[in-house]
Amino acid sequence: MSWDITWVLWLNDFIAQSERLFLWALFLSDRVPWVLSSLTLVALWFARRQAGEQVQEFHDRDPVYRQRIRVFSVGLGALLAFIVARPMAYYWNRPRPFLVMPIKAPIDPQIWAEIMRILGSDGAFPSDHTAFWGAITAGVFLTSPWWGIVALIATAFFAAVRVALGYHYPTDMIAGFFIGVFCVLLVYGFRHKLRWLFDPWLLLFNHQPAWAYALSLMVLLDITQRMTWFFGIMATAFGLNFPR
Amino acid sequence: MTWLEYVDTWLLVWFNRWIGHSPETFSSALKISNRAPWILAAALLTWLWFSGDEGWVPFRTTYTRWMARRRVLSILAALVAGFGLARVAQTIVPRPRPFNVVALQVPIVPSVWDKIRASMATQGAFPSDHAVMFFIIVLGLGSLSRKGGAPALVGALFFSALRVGLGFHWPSDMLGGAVIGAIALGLVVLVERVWPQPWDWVIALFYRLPAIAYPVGFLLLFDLSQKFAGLFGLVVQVLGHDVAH
Repeated sequence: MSWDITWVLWLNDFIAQSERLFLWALFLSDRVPWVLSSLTLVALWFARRQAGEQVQEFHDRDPVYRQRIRVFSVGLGALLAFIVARPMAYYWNRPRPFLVMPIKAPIDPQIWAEIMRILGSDGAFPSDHTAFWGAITAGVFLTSPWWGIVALIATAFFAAVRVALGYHYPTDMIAGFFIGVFCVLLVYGFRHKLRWLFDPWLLLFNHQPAWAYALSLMVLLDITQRMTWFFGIMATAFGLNFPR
Repeated sequence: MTWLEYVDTWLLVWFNRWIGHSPETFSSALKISNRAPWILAAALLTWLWFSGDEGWVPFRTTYTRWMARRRVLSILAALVAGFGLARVAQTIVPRPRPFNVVALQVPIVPSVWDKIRASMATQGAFPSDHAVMFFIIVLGLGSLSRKGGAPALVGALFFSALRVGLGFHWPSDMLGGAVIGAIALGLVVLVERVWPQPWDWVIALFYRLPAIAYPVGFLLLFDLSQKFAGLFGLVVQVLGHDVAH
């Protein structure tokens, strides 16, 4: 699709105006959206909390219960989106734009070569980054449509940065985003059938909050590290190596 | 050689033999001593924040959640004060790092080791920032819960031994860090007892505006897990020159 290519070149032209701008784009494409994702999950967890820190009633009537089920749906949806997106990327094996297009990178060629080496072996379609961010955006929309629009704008911005760097085509980002949204809506739609999975965790937060929150912090910190520990455990325990 | 130097060197060489006997052990010690204590510190503070009994009278533990939260804030304030005191002490007592003075067993690629040494070149050995952090958290936790404090103390001693064995610090640097940490926490807890209103005001924010206060708290813990890279980055921006940390 020609518009796909045109957008990559146009956005790349924009950030390649100066080394400083390109380095900013690299910085913004790296850890920042993941830290923001963790922050959003924390804000979602504590949003709409009316009294106390615990679920009083394990029923949709309880606003705290309803909100926390949304957060669990986002977490499970994001995981599902990733499980769907990875085999798709492997099956399509679409080469990344920087491998097939004249992408401009006004930085140290060694650094750029290293980035290309790390990302080059991985298929571009769909983007698992936007699948994750799509899941978070869907979760925010379920809580507050206004904040959902803010999350959507942020996701579009970070997606554009990755397109500008030549990591993805716009269609990769759109597909990833919709996979994320779809997975969260799917999990949320089946939330009553998934009570066996969610309720024990909520009970843990009620009865052992210190341990549950400390464990959650580790999960959130891992998200900020682009799930390095999670992938490390998958590789060590199950021999599953995911290119990232 | 004074008796302190003798004990310092003897302990240093003993720990280094323990860590430096294989490249695997040494590499693992390098990895573990770098980020793990900071991540664990963030997890411990989270644990403490949500521990204790709700309400005003403890019934299962020896402290209420409110008391625990005051102590977490005191620990965070003591960390800032402790790092400040440590930085002042580093300028007063310019002590070289052990790896520059003693022949140590370093069974890793020399270029990697040179990079690590270069990254620490601007900062003196005494006192250890890490020890300041370890012992503020151990004492803060232990002052409320001995059950929580005891494993934290074991962890602090383990990480301290690792940093000595790697040649980053002398044992007395860790002791100095521990003393500075204890002084900083003691002073902050004293203020907490005399004037608890600022502490209570911050804690109340977490009840009134949780969707804002908790993300801010998370950002703080995230920065703690990154060895305060963001905070020091901000200081660098304000001061206009580099700050070793």
